[in-house]
Amino acid sequence: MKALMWKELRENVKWISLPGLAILLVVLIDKPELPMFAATDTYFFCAIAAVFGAALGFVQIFFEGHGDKRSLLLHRPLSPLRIFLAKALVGVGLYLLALGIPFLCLETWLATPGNMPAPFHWKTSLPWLADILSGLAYYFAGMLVAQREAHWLGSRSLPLAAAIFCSCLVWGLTEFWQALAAIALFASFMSLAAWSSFISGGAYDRQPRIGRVGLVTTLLAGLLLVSMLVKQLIGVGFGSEVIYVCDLTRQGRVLMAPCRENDGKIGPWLDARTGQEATDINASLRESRLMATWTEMETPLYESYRNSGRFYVLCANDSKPGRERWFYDQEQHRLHGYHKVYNHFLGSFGPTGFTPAGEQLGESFQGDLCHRRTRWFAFDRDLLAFPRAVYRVDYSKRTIDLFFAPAAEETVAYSEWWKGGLDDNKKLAVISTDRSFHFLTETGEPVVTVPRAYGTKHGYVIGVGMLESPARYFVWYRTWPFEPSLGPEEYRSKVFHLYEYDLAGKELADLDHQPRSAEASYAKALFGLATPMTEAATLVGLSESLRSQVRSEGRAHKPVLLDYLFSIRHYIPGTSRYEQNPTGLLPGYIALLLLAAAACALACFMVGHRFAYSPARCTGWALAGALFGWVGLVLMLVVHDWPALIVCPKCRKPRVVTRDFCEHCGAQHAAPVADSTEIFDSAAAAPGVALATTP
Amino acid sequence: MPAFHIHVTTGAGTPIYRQIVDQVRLAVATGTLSPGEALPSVRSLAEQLVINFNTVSKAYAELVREGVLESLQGKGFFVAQKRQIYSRGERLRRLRHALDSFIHEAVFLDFSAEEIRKAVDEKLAELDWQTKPLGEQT
Amino acid sequence: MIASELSNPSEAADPRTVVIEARGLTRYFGNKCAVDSISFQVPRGSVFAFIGRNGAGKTTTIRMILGLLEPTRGSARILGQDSSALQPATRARIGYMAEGHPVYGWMRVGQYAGFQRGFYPHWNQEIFGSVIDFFGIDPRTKAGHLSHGQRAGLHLAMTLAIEPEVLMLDDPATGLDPAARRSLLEAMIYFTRNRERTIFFSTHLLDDVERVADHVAVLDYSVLRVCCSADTFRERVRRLVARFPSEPPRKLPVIPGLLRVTRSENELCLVVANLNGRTERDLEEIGALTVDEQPISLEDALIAHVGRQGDKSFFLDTAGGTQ
Repeated sequence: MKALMWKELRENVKWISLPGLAILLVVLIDKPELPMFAATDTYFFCAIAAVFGAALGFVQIFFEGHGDKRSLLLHRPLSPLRIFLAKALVGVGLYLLALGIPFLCLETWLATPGNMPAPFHWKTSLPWLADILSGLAYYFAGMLVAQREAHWLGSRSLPLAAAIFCSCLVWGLTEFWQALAAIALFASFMSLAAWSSFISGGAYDRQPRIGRVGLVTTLLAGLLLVSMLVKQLIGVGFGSEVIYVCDLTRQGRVLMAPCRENDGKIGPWLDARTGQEATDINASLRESRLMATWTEMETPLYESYRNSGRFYVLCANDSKPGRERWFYDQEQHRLHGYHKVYNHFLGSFGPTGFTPAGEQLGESFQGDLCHRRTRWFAFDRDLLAFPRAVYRVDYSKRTIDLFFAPAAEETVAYSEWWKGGLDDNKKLAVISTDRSFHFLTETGEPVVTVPRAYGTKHGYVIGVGMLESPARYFVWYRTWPFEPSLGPEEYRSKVFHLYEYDLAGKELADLDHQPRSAEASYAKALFGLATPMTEAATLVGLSESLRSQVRSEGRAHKPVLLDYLFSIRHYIPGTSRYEQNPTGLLPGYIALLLLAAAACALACFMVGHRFAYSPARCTGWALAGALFGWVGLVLMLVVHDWPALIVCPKCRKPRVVTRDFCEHCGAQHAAPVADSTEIFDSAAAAPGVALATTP
Repeated sequence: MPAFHIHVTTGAGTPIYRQIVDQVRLAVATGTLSPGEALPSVRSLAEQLVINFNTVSKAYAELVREGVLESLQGKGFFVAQKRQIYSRGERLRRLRHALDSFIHEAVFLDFSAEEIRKAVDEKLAELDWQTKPLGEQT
Repeated sequence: MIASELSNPSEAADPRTVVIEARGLTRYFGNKCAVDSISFQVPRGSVFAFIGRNGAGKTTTIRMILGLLEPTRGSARILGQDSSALQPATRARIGYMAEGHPVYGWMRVGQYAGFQRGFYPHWNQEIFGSVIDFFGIDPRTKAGHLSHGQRAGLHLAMTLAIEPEVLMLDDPATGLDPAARRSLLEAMIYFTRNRERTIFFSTHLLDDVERVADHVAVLDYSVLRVCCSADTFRERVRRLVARFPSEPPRKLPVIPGLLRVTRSENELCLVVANLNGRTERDLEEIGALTVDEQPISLEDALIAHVGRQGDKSFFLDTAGGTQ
């Protein structure tokens, strides 16, 4: 086996520098200034790992997978398992080296102070590490693609779809150990599939059972991904999702309008109070001058090991010198600064003041910084808001001041600046606590405080600002389109509240309104024909369980996976927040789904029966057809080798060529027709030679 | 004495073993091989001619059966002492049989009796006939 | 001629006397039948020639015997083990030269020896070295740079050096120049010095078959038509020459076992398998003056059998032939 490993090594070691070169190219073009790379770079690195993994697996098998080259490889006094192991061990080893070395080099470089104007934590390397490890799934997928002789071109590349499914999980799961578990799971069954396909030369029936299980699981994962993606594409392409958006004029008029998602067209605007069309607004084409401005507050934080907000939040305000970069470091709980050009550490701010570089760090900030995140990054911060204090930093003077301290029983929830008024000349700081909203001037002078009507866990995001004629403040409790804690029904039934306060903070008005939702089209029920029941159940169930998890955690964090699951609204009726379900849509969908399941189960059973499968096997596949619908049926067709059918000489029915005895009448196969030129003698002819007599 | 070589051709009408048998018999008859002379072993002849061992075995077995060769245990094959195993009558019968084929062929080729005799004489001279026919055996 | 009746002995043949056994071996590729229910036994110590036209199924059969391809139906055994479950130790006793002589192009010949011997318990470096020398191969050359004949030599060296019990050769002489071909044959004969060793080879070169084979099998597009000793084959295939007063008639009577017919001005030359007495009478009935039997070499007999055309002629006959 060592000799074989040596051969594999010599043959494939030449590829080992390719990923490193590609990574180097990316790094040279786009020098990393943050420990967690910009989005495009992350995609590139992920793609490099995936493509290299798949290509390596493919190349190792393809050129020796069939024909004489395969004979050369397999006709050795070595069990096929060890032959495969030799290839796989070398392949995996080379892959890990080819990607691991650039990984270690780059991360070491980033970790070394003076190379990057940002704080470094070793955990920031985990996302890339997860992508590299997920390349192992692509490796085995590449092997499978090379080995399987599939009937259709598409089915041959299904293992790659399974690897993409793994990548989706790696990106969507919240914690690194969960991503590792997903990779381990996929790599296990895909490696079993690759091994058993290898030893059987691509045929299915003679594979060991555990290998068949692995192969079926792999292809199932690939097909499910395809199923979801295709339905999503159809749903987005043919669907006409209409979302009602709400807006506010400077005078305080609440408007709403339907927005068509596929072309982005909004209109016509309606008055939310009366429900009538706001003709004047529509006529003036909704100039932005007419609209009020507000700041949005208190959105839940996206939670993922891949989100940079876990590690640092970029902070800046007008006083920041141009060549400096300041990060709130989530681990040290201090505000660290770096020189943008020379990369050296400038010093750090704590609640008590600035500590220059070289001196011992002072006190850390207490509590978590209130901030806002996108799926993968944190938004920049201006004011530093903590549960018990809000600070403002003067970067050029290297001072930090307490901007706001809440009352003893209040906890700060969020802080933001509001800019508005005619010509945007007004600027206020808004700080929300669990009890009230505080408006302050730019210098921190309190202006007014208004009470809070709904707490932070209520599922609202807050819009805060000022209106005109008369000048007054408003607090608008709205739902967030990406709200993780509300299910579709709850979301639709949630009422918006617009509170208006006068300049002294007294409540002036309180408008309740509810945006409309469009009705889903009945055509959506048709998706039931193409949806496996397990897929629908898992997606809906998973969404629900994640939402209840968010609720139980107090709505502070949002798993990225929920965002991914948000897209099921395109093809599973009843999951969309924006659309009402007309009566009969859901039952129709379920009915069609069950009908399709039954039809596929029947089709699977009949196909199995036609090809003389054992009753247990037919039933098993019928069950797969029921549980997985068309995916089960396609899986059955794609994974098996289909034997030829010939006409039985005795009963004239089609029978498989793989069995000695006819499945209908039990007759043997017809012997080849003799033409009287046969010459046999007992020296070499075997018993059992049978030739039909010539007519 | 010319040295003795066997050579075989494929694609000829006669089987290879037959060619070997004929050549050895001819060599013994014309004196190229003298009685008591050793022949190559089965193995070495097979490897030399690049033919199957069994073919050589078969040829040697036939030659032994005909009395042309004799095999000595452990030592190989040797040319047997000259003796006819056939009776005169049997020999005449065989000669007539061979003559039948030959004359038929010659007549078919449209040669005259004179020409045929001349060809026979030429061939005999060519073979450098040395052996005298044996006396009758009882 | 009707072959033996169907019988299914459940025990396998004794591996001491039968090295390779195929039973009802069948292989379909898609809907096409490449090998249709062939059964044969290869006795120990024989040189077994496996003949058939291009695409007849020879390579497929060999791969099934070696367990490199799964049969659609039927089974094969080699050295007493089922082909689909060959133990590594058994594989060490089988030498296989695949058609086309595949090699790892980047390996140098010298490295190849080191690579191969890592797998096998027996490795005779002397044999390897002498075969390599004979074919004029420099051990420093990369295998991919060798000529076709030299690649065959390298393969031969690797196969013989492991000193196997059975040699499986798939079209070993294709593409070899005559000298290399002769060397290959010499190596085969040398190999059979040990009478316990067996050679199974497929080939197109029928004069080689006449030289070295003692058993022949003919595969006629997936059907096994011949499987016997070389002697039996010779006995049963005969050449008849029928002379006619003028041009031979176009239409011939039904002649069972007719392999090939050639016509000339007033002659019909037929090669027939399993000749029975009726054929001569039938020919005389359609006007033959004489019907004689002529000797036929094994090579020609095999060519006739393999390239059987029955009573069709390749050449488009114009009336009267050449003018």
